[in-house]
Amino acid sequence: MRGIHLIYRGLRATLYISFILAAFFVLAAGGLILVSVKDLPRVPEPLGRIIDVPQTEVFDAAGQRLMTLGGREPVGLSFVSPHFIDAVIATEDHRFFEHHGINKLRTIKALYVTLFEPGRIQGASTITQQLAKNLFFSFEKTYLRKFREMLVTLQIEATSTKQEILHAYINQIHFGAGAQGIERAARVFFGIPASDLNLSQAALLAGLPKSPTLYNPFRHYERAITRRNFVLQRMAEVGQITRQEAIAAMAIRPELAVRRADSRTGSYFIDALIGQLVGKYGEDVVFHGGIKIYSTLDSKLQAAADSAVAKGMERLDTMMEIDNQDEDPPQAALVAIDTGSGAVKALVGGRDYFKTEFNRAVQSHRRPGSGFKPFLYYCAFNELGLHPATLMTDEPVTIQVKGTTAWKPRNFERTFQGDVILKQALTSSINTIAAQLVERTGPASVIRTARLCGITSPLEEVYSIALGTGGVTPLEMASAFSTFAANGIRHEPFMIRRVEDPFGRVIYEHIAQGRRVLDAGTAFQVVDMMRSVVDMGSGKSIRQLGFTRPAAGKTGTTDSFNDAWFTGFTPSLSVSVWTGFDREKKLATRTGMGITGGRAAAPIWADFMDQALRNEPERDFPIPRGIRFEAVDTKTGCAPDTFGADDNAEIVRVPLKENQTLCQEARP
Amino acid sequence: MFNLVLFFLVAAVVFSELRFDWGEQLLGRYLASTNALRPETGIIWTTGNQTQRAHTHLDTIVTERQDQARVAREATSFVQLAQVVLPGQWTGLDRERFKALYLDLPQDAAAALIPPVELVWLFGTPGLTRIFCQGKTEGLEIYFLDSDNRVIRQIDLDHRFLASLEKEENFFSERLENIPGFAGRIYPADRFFAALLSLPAEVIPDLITTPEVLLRERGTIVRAGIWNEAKSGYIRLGFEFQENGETRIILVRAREWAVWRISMALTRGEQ
Repeated sequence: MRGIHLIYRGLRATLYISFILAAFFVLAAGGLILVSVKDLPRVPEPLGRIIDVPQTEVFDAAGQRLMTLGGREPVGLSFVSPHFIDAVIATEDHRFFEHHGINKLRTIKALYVTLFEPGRIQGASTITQQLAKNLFFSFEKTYLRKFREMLVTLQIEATSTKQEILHAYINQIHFGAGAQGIERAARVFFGIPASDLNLSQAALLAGLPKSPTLYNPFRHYERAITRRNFVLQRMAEVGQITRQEAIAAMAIRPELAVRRADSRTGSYFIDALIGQLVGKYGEDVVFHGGIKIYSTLDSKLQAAADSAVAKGMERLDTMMEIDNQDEDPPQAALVAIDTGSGAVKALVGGRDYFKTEFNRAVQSHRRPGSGFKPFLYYCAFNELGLHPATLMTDEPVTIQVKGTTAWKPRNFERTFQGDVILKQALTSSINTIAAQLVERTGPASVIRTARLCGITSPLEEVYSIALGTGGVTPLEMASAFSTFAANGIRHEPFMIRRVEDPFGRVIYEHIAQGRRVLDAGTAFQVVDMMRSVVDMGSGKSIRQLGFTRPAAGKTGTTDSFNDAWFTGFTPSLSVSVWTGFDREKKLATRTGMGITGGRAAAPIWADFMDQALRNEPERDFPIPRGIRFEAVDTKTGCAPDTFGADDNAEIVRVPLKENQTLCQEARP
Repeated sequence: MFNLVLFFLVAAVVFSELRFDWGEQLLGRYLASTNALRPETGIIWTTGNQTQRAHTHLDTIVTERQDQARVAREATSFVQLAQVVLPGQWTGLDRERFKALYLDLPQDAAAALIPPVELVWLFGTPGLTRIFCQGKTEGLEIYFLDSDNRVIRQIDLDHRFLASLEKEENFFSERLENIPGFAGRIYPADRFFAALLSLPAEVIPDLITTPEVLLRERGTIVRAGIWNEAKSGYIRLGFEFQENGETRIILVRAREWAVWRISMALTRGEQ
């Protein structure tokens, strides 16, 4: 009897202690709720409002939408494949339709594991809890954050239907690769709308939110497939599909859409354009303003540029015997500008955006080598009264430089041609003559000419500037040569035609304003010399590749073969191509022979131009008023036969201005 | 007995909560009732605020542009246009408005700005889509644009030109009766302003469209005159200022209909 009494007293004590503990727990929870409630975030009403973020749209020159930024593309549940809804419920929260926000049994189990099995973490978040976390909370792991998240979850459950919660969840969830929301994810990964997802695709997408980076199918396809199979298995376990259906779906390897990476745009052009816009209006307007950006990009030309660079890089790899797994392959950049307006029509900033987003077309300042000489020649013509038929001597040159050792430029071929006219000197890219010219004009004048044309990079006032020792970008080169193509009219390069707010009201538009910066006649003389470079000089590979339209340009190769350029133009399009390594490294064949701009960059230029101008009518460079053409002997600078007949004489035609005559020498 | 009842009661409460989740629902409802009092914090609200800020910024830009477009539309001279379109700002200019402003210029100034024949050609060319003016630190630039926004022709109104225009437009070192255009329509200042102030308030801004021009002047207005000819919907008013025994006339332009109203008021006063 006494024993029973003792047991009864023990039970009673246990009961009381349990009551007291439970009461304490309830009171503590109540207190915590009261304390937490005032700092809890407000929940938007209705919940659907959260996905109402307008997207910024970018259009090409023809008005075709190129891409959207920020914002979301919310879709109703009826526009989402049921396979995906089933898959996400099976994987994330198979009791979603039964609980009121919290799966208590899973939570207790997770709590037990967390407290008593150190090192192991078990998730217990329901779909509503994940929604609350994604919408309002940071990803810091604290008990208080978890508690607050739970409270918001309960509120969402109390005020929204399960359909509304599911709708919000699938439209805001991150799938990686810049895809937020199921519609965007379906389009990014498979190129189809969310309504068309089949079981295999739906299961793959449903597996991604757990770790979008780890399971990114573009980067880790096999991992994503394993995760997809787990999802299918879960679907079979909870009875949403049969085992046979799961096995059949597991056998499928879904084909991904055009390869993308975890990046914002996938385009060097759009990256550069967004950079400009952010600088002008700030990130809020660009990524959250729902603005419409009408760009100058010509999609046809961009495709041609991408293809030309890809083929050019393959050629270069073969030439250099580089295997395609090389971690640091040579790179390329291409910029195409409309000479009549300055519109940037195509831009490539590297051989593969998905491997490196560094935009070499606008961010990389590389030495242009002889590509800088047209500025020098214009400057010399303009300031020293010289012209293309002026005679100079190609011979060893030593230029004394104050405070340092004398400068002794060498020719690329290491030979000297003796007397030559300046047209020939540029065609053959003779360095000693360029050095004599810069000695007489001074480097500051050459820089001033380059600035007038559109070169904006910092340049050092040294004699070697004439040989292109100051770093410039391909965008600057294309723009500056465009000034020659337009016979001295400068147009600022631009990528944005117009920006509209979400209601179509114009907030910015570009005015294509030409400004005469060079004398038309002198600019034409330099253009004529650059035509000669393409026809018979260092850029003749352009002609050998079958490009026959009127074109002018200049190759550029630095002494070390680190940079190989070709910048050239037709009357309508100015294009600059750069090739080289990101770090200081020589472009060379396996035998160590350096690769020049004529071999590496010019073929890319020719390939691009051939595609870009395929359906355009051919036209020649306009000849400014007051220009006359005269035949001249390249060795004398005089009319042929002036000093008697010479069968070996090389005769070229040169454009001269009204006051210019032949037989002019420019001896120091 | 009490203990057993208590035990079953508590057990029933706990069981019913686990089964029906009434605790969660109750708490959820309570939290919903406090929702409006809670702060808009968290990622989603941050995004919302960014969107809000973006729209506010965009609205500011658009409103500024619309204001500029309105004042540009209402400008009665190139001088006034240059005063309202500040450096860095820009706005479109209606073709007819440009014509009206141009035709109002003294002939020499108009020809210096752009030869009339060239203007005839410009307005006749199908390439001209619109006219656009942009404020610069040096003054005002007016562009004639084609459909691709390329500049077909550019006119620069620098400060020197504008200053000469302003002087030419506004200033005469004269007396009103010596200017034939005002003959028979010269009134003492107090009578003119009494008539002006008797008009409805909405008429006055169209009558004295540029009060700042008058406010800038030193001296006293002694007489006002009304020009006998209308041009492009405007009539000139002349104000004779007197200072230290010297007189000078400042011209301003008034809307034709508003001048008609003050003329009526002045005539009534005479009767």
